[in-house]
Amino acid sequence: MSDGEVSIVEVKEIGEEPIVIAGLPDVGLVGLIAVFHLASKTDMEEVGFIESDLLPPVVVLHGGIPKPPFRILRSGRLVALISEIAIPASAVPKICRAIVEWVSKKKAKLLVTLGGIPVEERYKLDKPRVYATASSREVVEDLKARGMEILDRGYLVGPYASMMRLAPLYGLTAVGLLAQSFFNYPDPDAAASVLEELGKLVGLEIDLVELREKGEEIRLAARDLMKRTEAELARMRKGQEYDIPPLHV
Amino acid sequence: MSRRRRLTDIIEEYMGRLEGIIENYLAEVEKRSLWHPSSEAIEPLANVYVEPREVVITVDIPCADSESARVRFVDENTVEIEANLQRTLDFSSLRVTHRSGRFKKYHIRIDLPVPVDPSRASITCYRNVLEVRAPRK
Repeated sequence: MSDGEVSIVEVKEIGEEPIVIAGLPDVGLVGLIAVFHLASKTDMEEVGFIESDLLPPVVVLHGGIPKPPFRILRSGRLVALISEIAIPASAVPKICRAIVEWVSKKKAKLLVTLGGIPVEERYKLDKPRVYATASSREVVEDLKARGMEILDRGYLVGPYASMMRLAPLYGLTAVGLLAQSFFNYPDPDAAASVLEELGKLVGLEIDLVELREKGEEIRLAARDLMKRTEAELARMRKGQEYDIPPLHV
Repeated sequence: MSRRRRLTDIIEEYMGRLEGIIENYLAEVEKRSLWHPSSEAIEPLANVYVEPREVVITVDIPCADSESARVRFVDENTVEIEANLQRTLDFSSLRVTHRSGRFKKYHIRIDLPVPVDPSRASITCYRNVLEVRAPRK
């Protein structure tokens, strides 16, 4: 593999026209926690991984077996992307382009990014609200018709921003589901909120009881990855998500 | 023209130095472990927000007994926060078998960027996120 190349390796059949769900480390680790829970509830199996020298030389040990930290999981038509390491800010553009190209080659029916949008005093909110964004006006109108709240104005920064920007260029329909979340504390409640909305979007009933009950344990166990992710978020200037864009006509 | 170029150079140099400082800080943050077996303490994730009239400190203390939280201002620029865990935790309970050590509490010492009045500080806990509000001096 040459410098800066990104390979998406399939070790099992993935099939065409999947619904691809991305759960990458971001604010509150919302997407990652959500996809881990989804994978456990739908018995997802590992079907591939992402390899690149842009990623740090890390493997994750599970049951004594080294695994690539950036993996592809599948259950039926659902395909999930997860990363157990913070994605280096400098690697985000190439990795996201490779993902979007691959999702496009798979003729995915839908690309859904699960994540958080940081809000001040998140700890005072009982239940985080979820906002949606989409790759085209038609999809935004469809989401509105389904009763979803749209993230009308604001900035997105990071992997999902790259993926949402590239998706229409590759003819993909992409939806971003973003729950109000902590910036740098793991947020399982926000993960439960995005999974609720994902369930409505793709017609899937997801049991969220365990996620909510074990929320504090998840917050404790996810702190180290949150700390590393926070450093990469700072390098991406993620704080810009608190900014309000200038008015336009 | 040459004066403008010099000004640009100065700004670029300043920005370069600033980015260097930020990068060094981030590298330090990444290097530091949050687990301290020798003191049986876990360092919690924390934030400090400087607002016009007060400083707001938040500390994430999942699985802590919030009633046990103790906030002590060492001086007007330094605060120490502790809270007991609901139960003693060890690495094996996190399925980490190659490290030993147990943990009974959260502990963090935070340097504040501006002085505050500790005597008028208020403390609230929301689902094990501790919020300390202290008026600025």
